[in-house]
Amino acid sequence: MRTFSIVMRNVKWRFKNMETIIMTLIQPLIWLLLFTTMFQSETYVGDNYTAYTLPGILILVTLTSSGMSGISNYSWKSDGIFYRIFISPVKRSSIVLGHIFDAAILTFVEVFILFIFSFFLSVKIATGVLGCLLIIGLIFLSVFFVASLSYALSMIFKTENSFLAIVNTLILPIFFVSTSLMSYEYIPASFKIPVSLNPFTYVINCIRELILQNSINWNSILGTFLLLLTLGVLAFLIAVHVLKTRN
Amino acid sequence: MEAITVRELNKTFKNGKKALHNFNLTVSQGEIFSLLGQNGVGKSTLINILTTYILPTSGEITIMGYHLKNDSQSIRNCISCVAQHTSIDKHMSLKENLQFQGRLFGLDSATIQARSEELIQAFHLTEYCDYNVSEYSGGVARRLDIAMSMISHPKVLFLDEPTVGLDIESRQILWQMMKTIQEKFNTTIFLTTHYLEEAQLLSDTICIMKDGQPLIQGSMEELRKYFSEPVIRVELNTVDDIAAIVERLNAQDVIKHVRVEEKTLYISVDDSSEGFAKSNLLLTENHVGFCAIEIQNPSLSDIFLKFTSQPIKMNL
Repeated sequence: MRTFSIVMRNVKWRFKNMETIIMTLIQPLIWLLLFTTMFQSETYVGDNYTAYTLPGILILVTLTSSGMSGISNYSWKSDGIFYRIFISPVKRSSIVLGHIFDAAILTFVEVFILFIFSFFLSVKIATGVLGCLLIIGLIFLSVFFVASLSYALSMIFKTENSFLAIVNTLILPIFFVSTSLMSYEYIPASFKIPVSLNPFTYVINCIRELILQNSINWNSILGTFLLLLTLGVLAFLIAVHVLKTRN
Repeated sequence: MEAITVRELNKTFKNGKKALHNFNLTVSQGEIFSLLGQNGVGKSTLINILTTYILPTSGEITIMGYHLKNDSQSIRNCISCVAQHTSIDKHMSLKENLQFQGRLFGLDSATIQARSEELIQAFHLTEYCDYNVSEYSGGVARRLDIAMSMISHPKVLFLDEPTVGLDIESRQILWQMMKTIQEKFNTTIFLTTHYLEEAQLLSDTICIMKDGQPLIQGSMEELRKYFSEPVIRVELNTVDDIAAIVERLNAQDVIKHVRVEEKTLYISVDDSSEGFAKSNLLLTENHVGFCAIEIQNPSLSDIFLKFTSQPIKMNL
C-alpha cells in the first residue's frame, strides 16, 4: 500500500515533468528511424529490418529510461522530499520498489509508443498474445534490474553530474556490444565474448524470436527469465542495502 | 518520562570533520526543548541523527524508549521532522500532500480525512485549499509543512529552524502553532533556532551547544540562576558616537562588558545598584541622550553570548 502511494506520487511528478518522458523517448525514436532507414545492412537474418532492430531499440529505451530514473533522487534530495520519505516508517524496500515501478510505468509508456510506431512500419508479433505477454515480462525484469542499479548509483554518487557521467558511459556500450543491430554470426570475433557476456544480448535474442518466429523457444525464454530475475534480485538487494547504510 | 536520551554521542564525517563529540542530552516528554548554537556547531547533524537520516559514529540514543541502533523503524513511527527548507510536493495540492504524508505512516483514508480537516482548521489553512501549492508564500508553505508533519500525530516533532526567513507575523503564527501542538496534541517539540527570543518565549528547556558539545542545559530560570550578572539596559536617543560611549563605559571598573543592539546598550555589571548609578552618571555627564534606563534580568542573548564566547565546558 505504501509502495503504491510512493508510485502514485512519483507518477504524478513524472507527468507534471513531461520533459523527462519526452527526452528519453526522442533518442530511441531517432535510433529506430536511423537504423531502419539509413543503416539497413546484410548483417541480420530476416525480411524486415525494423522488426529485427525493434528488440534492440526496446532495450535501449529500457536502459535509457530506467538507467536515468535515479536522477529524480537528486531533485527530491534538494527539495527535501527524499528526507521526508526517508525518515517516515516506510520500509526501505518499499521506497526502492516505488522507484522501480515508476521507472516501469515510464518505460512501458515509451515501449507502447514504439510498438505503435513500429506497427505502421509493418512489424507484427508472430507469437501473438502469449508472445506479447512474454515480451512485457522480459522488459519488466530488465527495468527491475536496471532501475535498481540506477537507484543504487544515485545513492552512491553525491552529485547529479557524476551520476549522469557514469550512466551515459554505460548505456551506449551495453547497447552496441550486443546483438541489437546485427546477428551474432556477423559480430567481429574480438567482440563475440563481450557480446555473449552482456545479459541484454539474451533478452534481445528472446524478444526477437518472439517477434519474428511463430514458435516459442521455452528453454531460451526460461533461461533468460531466470538470468534477469537473478540479476534483478541482486541489484534490488544492493539498492536497499545502499539506501539503508547511506550516510 | 524521557522522550529523548542521548549518551556519549559522537559523529565524525568521512572527511574527518568531528560534528559531535561525547554529546549528552535529555528531553522530557511533552516539553518544548530548544537547542541553541552558532552556525556549524552541529545542530542539524544532531537532528539528522535523531530523525534516523544519518547514522552516528558511536553513542547511545533512545527515543520514546526505542533504541535508535536496533529499532529505527519504531522510532520513525513516532517522530516527524520539519526540516530547514520546506519539503512540500509542489506538484500536488494541499490535501494531496497531507494524504501522501498520511499514507507514508500507513493511515487509512478515513483517518487521513479526519486529521486533514483538523489540521487545516488548526493551522488556518482552509482558505488556501484551492490554491496551487507552488503559489504559497513562505509562511503558508511552512504552515502546510508543519501540518503534514502532524498528520501522523507524532510523539516527538523536530523543528529545524522553522521560522528562518519568515516575517514577524508568520513567525508569531508559527509560535502559536507550536504552543497548540504542545497543548492540544501533547507532542514533545525539539526545536533548533537562531532566534533567541523565540527560544525564550516558547521553551521549557534550553540547551546551548558549542563545537559539537552541550555547554549548558536547563529551564530559563535555571539558566538565569547560573548567570548571576545583572544587566543595565539603556535605550539611547541616537546611535551617533555610540562607539565612544561604549569605550567610556568599558573603562569603568564596575562594568564588565557592554553589548550593543541598534540603539540599545546592555551593560553587564557586578553590582546592580552601583552599576546603575555609575552608568546613569556617566551618560548624563557626557550629555548622552537616552529615553530609558533599567536594571534587567539577563536575557537569553546575554546567557547565550556568555556561554558561546568562553572556551570551557560548564554543567548545571
